[in-house]
This record gives sequence, C-alpha cells and structure tokens, in this order.
Amino acid sequence: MKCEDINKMLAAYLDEEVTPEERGQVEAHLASCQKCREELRTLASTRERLRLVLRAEAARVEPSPQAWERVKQSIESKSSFWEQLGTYASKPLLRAAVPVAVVLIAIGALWSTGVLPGFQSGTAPVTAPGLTAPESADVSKSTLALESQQPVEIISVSGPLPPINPGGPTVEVTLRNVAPEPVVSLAASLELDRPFDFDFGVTSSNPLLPDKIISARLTLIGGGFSDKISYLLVITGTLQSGATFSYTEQVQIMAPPSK
Amino acid sequence: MTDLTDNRWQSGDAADFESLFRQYERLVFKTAYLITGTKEEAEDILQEVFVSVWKSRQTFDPNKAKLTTWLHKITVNKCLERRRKKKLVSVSLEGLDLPGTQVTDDVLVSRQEYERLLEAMNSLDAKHRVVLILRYFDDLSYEEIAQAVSVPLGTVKSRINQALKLLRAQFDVQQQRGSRVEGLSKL
Repeated sequence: MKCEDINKMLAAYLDEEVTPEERGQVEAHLASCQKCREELRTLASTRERLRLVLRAEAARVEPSPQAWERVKQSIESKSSFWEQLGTYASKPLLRAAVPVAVVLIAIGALWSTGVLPGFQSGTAPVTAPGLTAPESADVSKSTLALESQQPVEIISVSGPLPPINPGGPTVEVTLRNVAPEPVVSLAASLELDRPFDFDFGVTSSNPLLPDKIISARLTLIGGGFSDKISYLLVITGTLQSGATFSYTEQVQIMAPPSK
Repeated sequence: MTDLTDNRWQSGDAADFESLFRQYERLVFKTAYLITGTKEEAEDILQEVFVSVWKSRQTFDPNKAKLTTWLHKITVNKCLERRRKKKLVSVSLEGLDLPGTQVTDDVLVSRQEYERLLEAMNSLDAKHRVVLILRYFDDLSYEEIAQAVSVPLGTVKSRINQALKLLRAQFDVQQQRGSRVEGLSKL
C-alpha cells in the first residue's frame, strides 16, 4: 500500500478502530517506512495532548446548581394537562369543552347505571368537539392517551428513490394526520450532518384533513445516509384551531419497496 | 438513583427523570461547553437537551441505541442548531487560571502549548471539532460517533484522521507565530 493510503488509516489505527486486516497492512507498511512512522508519532502526540487539554478545559466548568430547577419548570409547563390538550385544539375551546364533556360523560354513566331516573341505559357516548370521549369518565386516562400520541404520525421515511441523482439521494417522508381536525401547516426536518427540510405544501387553503396521508420528496444535495443508522426527524406544524405542535422522532431511512 | 436498565425515566415520573438528569447533566453540559465555547450557551443547551429528551422520551428505544449515544446526538444537534443561528464563539483564554503545566503518564503540556492547542481547536470548523470532542473527550467509539452525528462509519474514520491533521497544522502555525513574537520581543 502507498503512504497516502496508510496515512488515511493512522488515526483509526491509534484508536484501535481498524479491522485486523487493516492493522496488518498498517503495521507491515510502518515496518519499512520511516516517514509514516514519524507521521504516526506526530499524530499520537497531538491526540494525547488534545485529550489532556479537552479534559482540563472541561474540568474548569460545572453546570449551574439551578440547572435542574430550570428544566423542571420547563417540563412542568410543557406537560401540564391543558398544554397537552392544547396541542389538539384551541385552548379556549377545550377549556370550555372538556369540563362539559366530563360532566356529560358522568351523567351518561349515571344514565347507564340507572341512577338517574327516566333514561334508558346504553346511551351513546357523548363527545366534545376535538376530543374523543374515553371508554369511562376517567379523565386521567384520556390525558395519558393524548400525551403519548402526536397529531401527525410518521408512516415511513424511505430512500434512495429512483432515479439515481448524482447530486445526492432522494428521500421521501410520508405522514398521516391522526388529529381530529385539519392540519394547516406542516414541515419535517431530517437531521443528517445538517438538516434537510421537507415541505408538504400544506396551507390553510390546502389543509391535510384528518386521517389523510401526505408525502414529500427531497433530493439531499451533498447529503448521504446509511440504513443502519437512525436519524432525528423533527415534525412541526399547526392545527386549524391555531395550536402548534413540534416533536422529534428517531427514524431509519428504509429502502423503498421494489416493484 | 434510577436504575437506567429498567428505563423508568421514560414513564413520565419527574423524580425518575431528575435521577436521569443528575446522572448525565455534566456529560451534556461539558460536551456542549467544548463545542460552543461558552458556559452560558452550554447552560442553555443543557436545558434544551433535557426538555427535548422529556418530550420525546417515549420514542427512545433502548434496543436501537445506547442512551448516551442518543444524548450525545441531541446535544450535538442543539449545538449545531445554535451554530447555524450564529457563528461558534471561541473559548476565551482571557483571565483563565490555567496551571503552569498539565501532566499525564507520558505527556507534558506547557501553558503555552495548552493555549495554542485550544486556539487551534477553535479554528477548526464545527464538523471536525465535534468528532474530536466526541472521540477524545467523551470517549465514544467510531460507531457511536457515526450515530451521534448521523454520518456513515467510513466518514467518521476519515473525518477524525483529517481533523487531527488539521489540528496539528493549526497548532504548528500558532507555534511559529508564537516563536516569531518571542523572537521579535528579544530584539
């Protein structure tokens, strides 16, 4: 092997990140090449000094003792009951609708058990706008259900799609609106070594209706990916009621099904 | 202390989540500090990372990735997000109480070398700087770095190799500049 090829492997060799075969090639070359042995020594010295400087530099700083309090305040405000519900419909509407729904569901439960006279049991469940009534009148259960579900779900992230583009692979992101109301803006950002933004063309005049699926394709100019690595996909958007949503999921870019 | 093998922190219980935070706050904070170069930004990123972890806690799959790799990935993304908004600030050497020398088993670094190496590090672009920090501060394997920065393993290998060489070249430039200044001051 040439010096140039061996040189490209020296850091990985020092870090013990080469295959046994590569190790053999590097060591065989080093045995007969003074120049590459010198390069290895220089690299090893830089690496050790860097390790030392980074550790000394990091040892100078500590997080603030108030750091947890700030995180706690932030997550408490973000995970409050109303906040979770607010991602599905406008807050003023829900603030009025949910207590009404709870009372109506409770009345429904009383009807069905015959506690309230004059009504038949088995009355159809009552629902509030934008909120599916739970099986029982247990509000905590409905909160948990909302917490775990986002208004838009990821159906697939696939690529590279044909035709082969020399500028970069083409990837398709497919999403479904699982909220009970239309989505009026929608974007997805795929975080490779830099973000790639997918535009779905969803607007208030071209909304994504409930249960509808939408796809967007993008050629990742200068970008590359591996199907063995998971990437972050950030989904952001707005519901018709004005509530906004943003969440991040780990995704793997899968090869499209062959036809 | 939360037993992280049972992933109780994912349940939504604030006390379990605090245990997770306590265990990893320094790792996230120090990595963010080395990448961004300022304590203030590292504080903000620490908060952003754990709020993000809280919000997407149910999407983390321990069978797909190590928790620390996931944390590094979010930390790097938050740092780069900020970098896109404004250029990375270099670590300031002004007013630092640096020791005269730093010693490990077989390496001695003078204060001057320390400063020059840091300056050389700060002159690297973010993609080279990040892989060096993840490897030589966080001790991530190349495979873990590949996951954290979302590039293939081969790219990590070549990027670390290239970054070390760039660092050495920048360090030599700083050394030569320093020698010239010292030479002039002796005249």
